[in-house]
Amino acid sequence: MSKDKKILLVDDSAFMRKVLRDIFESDGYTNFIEAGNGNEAIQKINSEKPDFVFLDIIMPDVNGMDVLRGIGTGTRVIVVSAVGQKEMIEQAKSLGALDYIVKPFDRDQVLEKAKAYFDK
Amino acid sequence: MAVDTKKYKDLFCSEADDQLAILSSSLLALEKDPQQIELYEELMRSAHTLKGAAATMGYVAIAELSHAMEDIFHSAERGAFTIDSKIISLLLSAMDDLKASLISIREHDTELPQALVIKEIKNVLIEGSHYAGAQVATEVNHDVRPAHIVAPDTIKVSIDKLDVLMGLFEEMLMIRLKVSSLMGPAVELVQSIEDSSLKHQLFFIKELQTTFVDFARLLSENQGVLLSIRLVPLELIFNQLPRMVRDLSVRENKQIEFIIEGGDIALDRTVIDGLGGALAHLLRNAVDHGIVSQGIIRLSAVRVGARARITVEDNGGGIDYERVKDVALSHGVATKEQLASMRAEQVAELLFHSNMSTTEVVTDISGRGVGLSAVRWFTEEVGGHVDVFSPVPETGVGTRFVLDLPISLATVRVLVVQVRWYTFAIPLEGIIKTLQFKEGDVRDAAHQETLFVDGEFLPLIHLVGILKLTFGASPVESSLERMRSAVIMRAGESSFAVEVDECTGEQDLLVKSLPPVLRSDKCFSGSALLPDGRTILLLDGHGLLAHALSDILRHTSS
Repeated sequence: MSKDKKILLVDDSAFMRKVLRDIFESDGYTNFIEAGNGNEAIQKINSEKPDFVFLDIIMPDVNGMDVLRGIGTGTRVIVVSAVGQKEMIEQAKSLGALDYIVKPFDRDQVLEKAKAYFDK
Repeated sequence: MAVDTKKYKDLFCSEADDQLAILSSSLLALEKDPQQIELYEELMRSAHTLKGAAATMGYVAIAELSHAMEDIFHSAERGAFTIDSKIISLLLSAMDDLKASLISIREHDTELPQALVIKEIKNVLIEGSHYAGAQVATEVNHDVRPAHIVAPDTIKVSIDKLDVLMGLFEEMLMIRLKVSSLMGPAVELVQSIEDSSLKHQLFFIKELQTTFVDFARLLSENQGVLLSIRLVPLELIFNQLPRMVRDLSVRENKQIEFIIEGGDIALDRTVIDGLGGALAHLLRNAVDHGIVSQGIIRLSAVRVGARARITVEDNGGGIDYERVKDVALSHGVATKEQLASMRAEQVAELLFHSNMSTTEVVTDISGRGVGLSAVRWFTEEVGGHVDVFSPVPETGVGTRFVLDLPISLATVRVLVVQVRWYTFAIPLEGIIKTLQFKEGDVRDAAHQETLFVDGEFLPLIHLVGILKLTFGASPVESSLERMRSAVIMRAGESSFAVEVDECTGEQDLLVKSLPPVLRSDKCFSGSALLPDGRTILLLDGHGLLAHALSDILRHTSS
């Protein structure tokens, strides 16, 4: 699988973006864009057309659910959030998210999950 | 544990600080006006973000505590209970515990246990509006202890202000030099006075001198501190380079291992400023034209006395000297005759010539010239120099650039020398010793006078010839017995002797860069002001030696 897939990392915490980015970089991925809030995420999804989006849910103003509502179903999104409740997962999926990763995650878990969808 | 906590510690703590600040101010706002429902959102979000980050770092206590807090805000938002001042006191004391835990993480890489406060917060969730307040919390309320207001132990200062401070300080140093040069004659004058009553009246001159010595010492200590404030670790620049090298090698489709060493060495901010651009030039050259398809580029820094030696080395193809000559010829940088007599080092020197750095030339000589004149300009501007070795002597392959830079822009201790009517300064760092010799000690070997010093013959260089000093007569007719003076200097691995008429004495001088008209003259490394206001030039060992060697070559070839 090619490692130059364009990956958009959306999280209001620069720390969480950095951790995720390092995980992907350690597996050889090179092409990243980042967004620190929901509005920026929607803009970058429209302008940069990332192959995959890793999306935080709880963010100020425009949250992850709003982002899912705002971008339609063409984009491949995996939600990453510390919220683990079942209804949240169901809601995200109903809004078009492919899957759900719960914080705290570990490297292998993220890469495994990503790979499952990247390869499709 | 999820991640390498040491690696992310700073980022985590700085974001956690932000979240704690938001939580504290929102709690205080909520206490004033419990009806502000939108504050719950804010509080939940902050606690949630903190929880996620802490869990990712493996800080379970912080994660659990922020989780419990998030639950409180969640329940309160749903109307299960109102967050009253008792609960706010508890939550604020939880803030204090979290702050302490962050300090512990910063200092000892370990979080603090939070079991008590977590238990108390869980009580709130169970008891709701019946919560009677915590013992800890009420204690906090009654016995109002001084708040945990900790001023940061570092401050940011703009580099402009430091430059102004430096400028003022340099003026103070000039005054010190001036006073110090007046003090000597004044003391001597008093000592020479015969009249004992007058001499007695002038006792204060001696006092003045003692006081001045104290003042001068304090000024020196001050200078040390001021200069150390301006030091910045090379890491600040080095850290940005792996990404650049990576991108370049991807673009060029080359396999390059990039090694960095010595990023902890600190240099004056002014030196660091231009260094990034210079290193970018050298690394781009190494990637584009040094490495053929795969190889190693090594960037290293070592400290040598008051100077830093920064090396960019590749194990690639090395410089194609014949092509450099071709380009130099076609661009009028050197004549056929000059090129014919040049040794490899001198041909390599041509790369730094500004006419060799045009884009057109660049493609001709596979880009070796790109920006090298800019690199040289930068190093000389800050009082350093740059050398190129290709192939690298130890390995026989590749190219090595060595930047020799001052660590700080300080005063330089120099020897002031007199040649005819001219005064020059030689930095003590480049001096091995001074000595006296006689005509009889000089040997003429291969169109170059040499002086036998400590078991070896050193070239004897005459400034009058090299610098074309036309004013002032040579001291007395030469006789075999007349004592002459020489300064034994070193430049890199080579030593040589420079004849001078007189060594006037040592001084601390503030070195400035050369006026642009003199930059092309490699014999000088900088200029400085003498206490009497005269500007003098600093002699550069590398330049003098190169000049002398090219003179020899001219004689040999003619």
